[in-house]
Amino acid sequence: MNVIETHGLGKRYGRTWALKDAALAIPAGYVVALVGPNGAGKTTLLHMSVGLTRPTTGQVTVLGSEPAGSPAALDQIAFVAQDAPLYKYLSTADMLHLTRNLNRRWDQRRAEGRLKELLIPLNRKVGKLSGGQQAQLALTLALARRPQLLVLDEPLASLDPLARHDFMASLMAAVAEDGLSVVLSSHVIADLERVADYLIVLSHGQVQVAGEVEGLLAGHSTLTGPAAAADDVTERLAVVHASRAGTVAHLLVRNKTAAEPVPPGWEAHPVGLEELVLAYLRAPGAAALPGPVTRATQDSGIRA
Amino acid sequence: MTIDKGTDSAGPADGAGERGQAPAMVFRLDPSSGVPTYLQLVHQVEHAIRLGYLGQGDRLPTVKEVVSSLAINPNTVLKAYRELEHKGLAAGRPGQGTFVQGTPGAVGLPELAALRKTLLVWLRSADVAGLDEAGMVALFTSALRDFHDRRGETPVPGDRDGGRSQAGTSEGVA
Amino acid sequence: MTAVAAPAPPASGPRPVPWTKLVWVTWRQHRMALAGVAALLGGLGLYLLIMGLKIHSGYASVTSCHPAGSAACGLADQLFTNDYYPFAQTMTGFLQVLPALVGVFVGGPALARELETGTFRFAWTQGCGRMRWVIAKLVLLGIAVTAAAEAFSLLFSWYFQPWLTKGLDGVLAPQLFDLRGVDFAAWTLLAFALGVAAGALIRRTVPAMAAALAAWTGLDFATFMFAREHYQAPLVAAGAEANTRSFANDWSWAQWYTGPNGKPVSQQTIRNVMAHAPASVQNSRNPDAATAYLSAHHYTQWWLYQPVSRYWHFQLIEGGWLLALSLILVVATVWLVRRRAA
Repeated sequence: MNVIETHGLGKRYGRTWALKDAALAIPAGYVVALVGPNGAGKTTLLHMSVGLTRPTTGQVTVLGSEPAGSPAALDQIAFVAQDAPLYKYLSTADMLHLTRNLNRRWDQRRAEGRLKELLIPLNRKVGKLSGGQQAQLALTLALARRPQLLVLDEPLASLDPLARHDFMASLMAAVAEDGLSVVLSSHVIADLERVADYLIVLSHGQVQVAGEVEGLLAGHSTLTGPAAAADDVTERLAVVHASRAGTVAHLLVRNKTAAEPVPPGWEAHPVGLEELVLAYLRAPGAAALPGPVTRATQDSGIRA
Repeated sequence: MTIDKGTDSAGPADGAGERGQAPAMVFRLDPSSGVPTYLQLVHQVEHAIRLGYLGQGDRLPTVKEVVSSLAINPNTVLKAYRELEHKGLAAGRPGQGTFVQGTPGAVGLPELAALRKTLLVWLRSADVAGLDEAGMVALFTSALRDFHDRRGETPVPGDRDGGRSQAGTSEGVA
Repeated sequence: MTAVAAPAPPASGPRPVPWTKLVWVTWRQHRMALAGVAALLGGLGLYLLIMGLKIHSGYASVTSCHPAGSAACGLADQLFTNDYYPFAQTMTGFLQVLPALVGVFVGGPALARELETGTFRFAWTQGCGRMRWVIAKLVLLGIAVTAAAEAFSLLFSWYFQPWLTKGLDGVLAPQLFDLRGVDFAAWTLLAFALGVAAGALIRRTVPAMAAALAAWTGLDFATFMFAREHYQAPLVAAGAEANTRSFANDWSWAQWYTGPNGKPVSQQTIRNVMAHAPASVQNSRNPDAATAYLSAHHYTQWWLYQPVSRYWHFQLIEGGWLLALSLILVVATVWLVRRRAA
């Protein structure tokens, strides 16, 4: 089952396309990292997946075949928007009560247990909690709904490093316990490197990369060699991004076959996730998508 | 790597209440080492077994415990534990956890000493032949790979060590 | 690559969240606004109650005064009126704004605050869905403010009753008409509906409240200045009939004179005619003396009026269109919520 599936999904605000022609098929059971620079369209994509925004073109189905925003979808998907919006004038206990009353399925014991573990007092007004505590409360509310899919929009953006670690540890523990799928967005890749096993790179409203992290990393490598020979290599291999300095060139290539021979005189190194993402972000025409290639830009050796 | 025999640390934080036996070790990660996370976990367990800190029947931390302290994907832990099972170093018991099993590859201390001596002899010969340290490492790694290839095993984890691998295949870790 | 089996989805579609739970949600979210309204109406209501009891007992003693018609009773009556009536009139003026205050204070923030603070991204992604949520909120709050307003209006009617019985004011009088009957509650509901609609459109609390107040004031002004006169074709009374009729209870807003030739004449003309009247007429305390003099000279007085018998008819017409407009606004608001992109 695909937790989120989109076909030709696009959203236009006025004359700008925030998201254009996105085709995704995210399978269940993964922790999905949605990365890209600010304004890339991450929030727009997430909002359409949870039914907050209507697409301009295309459609998005969730949890197999449910239309996004339908009652069944709302029931099974929990969303935490950017900056974890909560009713600041309510107490934590009231916030729990309210969320319970807005959902069919609710695990009060779990919610209270989590809050106790996190030392978040039940009788304090939400507005008086720290940023990290509010984020944890929002996560608690989402998890207590026992969703199949959890969607988080930049959950770490306003958290300090300790709060960030605690939040991710908490989230991963919930994934271990419940087996739910998670989609989270961030514009800081380092945050997501240790937890993501599925990656989507979004840039300028276009999906550049979509796939399992393991497969993506295995399917790319960095070739280091003489700059003079770089163009040669670029002709023959699918180079995503090239960086040269003096006599040395580093080429991030996409391996066409499983065991691709390294050109003589070149060294091959495996690629890290952040390196991979940065390379694609620097090469707007490149893409690593499952299935047929959607773009074919001829751009000094950068090929899709 | 922190070893915790678990006999004197009770309490739910260690999971003793959950499974009836406290986990025998706690993991730590080195994010800048270039070694994939799951392999770091595997190595830490292997290391612990090799040095005798982990013994037969000791319980490894549950996926949830590891993930709660390290904030990594649960599948990574599962992969590490599967790898350990594949190597015969651990076995999962449904509903109870993953336990250390057998210690194949544990080499006795006198054998270790003898091997060390042979290695030093080799190093001296290499030095005489004019190889520097990097050259020695490169030669050794290459020979090790050949050895494994002939035995039909998976490539050496050492391939991923921070940029010190030599010209050869460009495989990442499968 | 699942770590643990994912939770199984329900076999059929989910049952909707019951309405009773949404009652709690609406109450908890708007507790402060409702409490504010309760305090305002309650406080004023308490005042009306206390003063009303005094007025009623005062009136009772005036009416039971005997001998009726004597100078002493007349004086007691005069004192009673002077004591309480002016302030009652002031009260009437002050209460005109109450429907707007109550309605906009509750309705304005109802949706605007959610949209302004971004909490709608929480509320509209819960299992309940946004339609049930907004319908429950608007219906419950609307009923609450309307019921409270109606209760207050009844209390006011009781408070003011002695003055009506004494004929000092007519029920159709503009400043009283919209405080009594169903009108007060209807105008409150309209203010609420304007508030929620403005909130859904403008998405900022303070500007929405300001816009709603402005719209309400405009409608209110237009209604009592122009519209209400025409709910039914006004009646015309002239000359002798007019002389014998007391317009204290009927609502007359226009009067004019016609001259001997039957054409309307200006007030200046009438003043000129009266200037030639004998001193006995000019100085007379009897208002009929002047009228009699004028009609003797073939100047007829005309009135345009609505008879008091039409009071309930007008209440229902005005209440009716206010209700209809409120419903349209609420439906439009729900539609806006449904369509709203984040």
